[in-house]
Amino acid sequence: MLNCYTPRRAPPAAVAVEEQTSADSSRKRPEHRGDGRKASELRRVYLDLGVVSQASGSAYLELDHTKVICAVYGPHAQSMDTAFSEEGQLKCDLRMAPFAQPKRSEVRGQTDEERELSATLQQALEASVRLDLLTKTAVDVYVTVLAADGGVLGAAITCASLALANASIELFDLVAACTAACADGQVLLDPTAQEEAAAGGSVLVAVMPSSREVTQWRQRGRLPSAQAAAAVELCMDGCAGVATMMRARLLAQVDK
Amino acid sequence: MASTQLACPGDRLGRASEFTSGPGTYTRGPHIFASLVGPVLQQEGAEGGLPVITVRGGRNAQDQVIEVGDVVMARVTRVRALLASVEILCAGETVLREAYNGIIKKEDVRATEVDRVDMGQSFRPGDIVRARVSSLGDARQYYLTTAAPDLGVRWAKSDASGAIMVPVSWQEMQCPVTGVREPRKCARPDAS
Repeated sequence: MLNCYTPRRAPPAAVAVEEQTSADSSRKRPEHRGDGRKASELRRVYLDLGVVSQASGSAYLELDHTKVICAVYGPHAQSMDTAFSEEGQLKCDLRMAPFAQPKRSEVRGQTDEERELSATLQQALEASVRLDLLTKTAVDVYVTVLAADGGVLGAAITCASLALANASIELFDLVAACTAACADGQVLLDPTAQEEAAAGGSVLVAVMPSSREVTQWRQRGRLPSAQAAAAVELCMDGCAGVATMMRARLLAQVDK
Repeated sequence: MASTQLACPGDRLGRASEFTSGPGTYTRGPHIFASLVGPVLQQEGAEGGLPVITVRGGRNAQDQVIEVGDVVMARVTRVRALLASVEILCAGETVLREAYNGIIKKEDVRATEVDRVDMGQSFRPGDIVRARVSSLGDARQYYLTTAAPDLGVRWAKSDASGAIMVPVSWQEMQCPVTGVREPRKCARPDAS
């Protein structure tokens, strides 16, 4: 059977990172996180391409329990409502499935947060697409988050970049993205939703691996400057790892 | 370089001093990089120039993009006094996944006697026309031209019988069933 894997069981909901309640001045940091990873360890990645048959290109990405699917349509005619643009246009749409989060959503239509994530996604991808070749055409990128367990925007950016490559849209480079959260003086790479919620702040970095150009950098919450720098470095390392996996999967598809 | 080398966007392929950048690649600084996923191919350079390095992608997205000068096949949707509206269906050899809008203005129908063109005698809705993109136009449509002998109506149905008509001159098509002639700006048939 192709592309088969055994999904890992969800961690028990009650498990939290160990907290020191003693009055010791020296706090002992847990070596391993709730799911057994080290601080600088990525979650297990699963990538697939061409999963939406009617799209020009598509990709599916899992980071353990974060699951994201992306479909790319285009190049096609630009919308008549928008102003004339000789250069190509990239339009990104990110939506959370109603069942993506632990509490099911009853909202219909796009929320403000989804609109913001869509705009951030577009900024992250635009620099990588050769828009000068897509004369007076548009490319639509649709990302649907099927399950959100932390690192959602990073997964969306990575997945969208794979889908664009799968659609044979000419790109300057792939875009790999990674998130890091800062909690208790420790920087954790690729945090789960629980780790993100417990963290004081988090950083997302999206980078084009071959030129090491950062296309998106998003910081949220409170981050001491030393930790912020360490978090960004960790993200860049994480992105390098993600980029290697993206390349391997894209090249494997060529032989099929 | 092995003949079966595969590349991903962003992979460095060679030096710009040794190769020319072809489709699927781009030049940045002194190097040439891939911009598609696929096998890397080397071809002879033009007239003893540097060899051309290209990457062949799977489904070529660039084929869906129309540029000025491209020859396209379009279906006429509306005919007005000053222009005919068309839907562009094919660009070169590629069938477009989604049609683009285009117009053929009265002065672009033919090369001679441009002010005496009667649009109703040049095109009818439903005709398939071979045209060339003369300009990117505006937000709504491309501007096309049929002002050349090899451009114009390639396929049209007879009003009388519904049969597919045959061109008899650059200005008339004839129904093979009834013999009735209808005015069109015809494209010269390809030499078979």
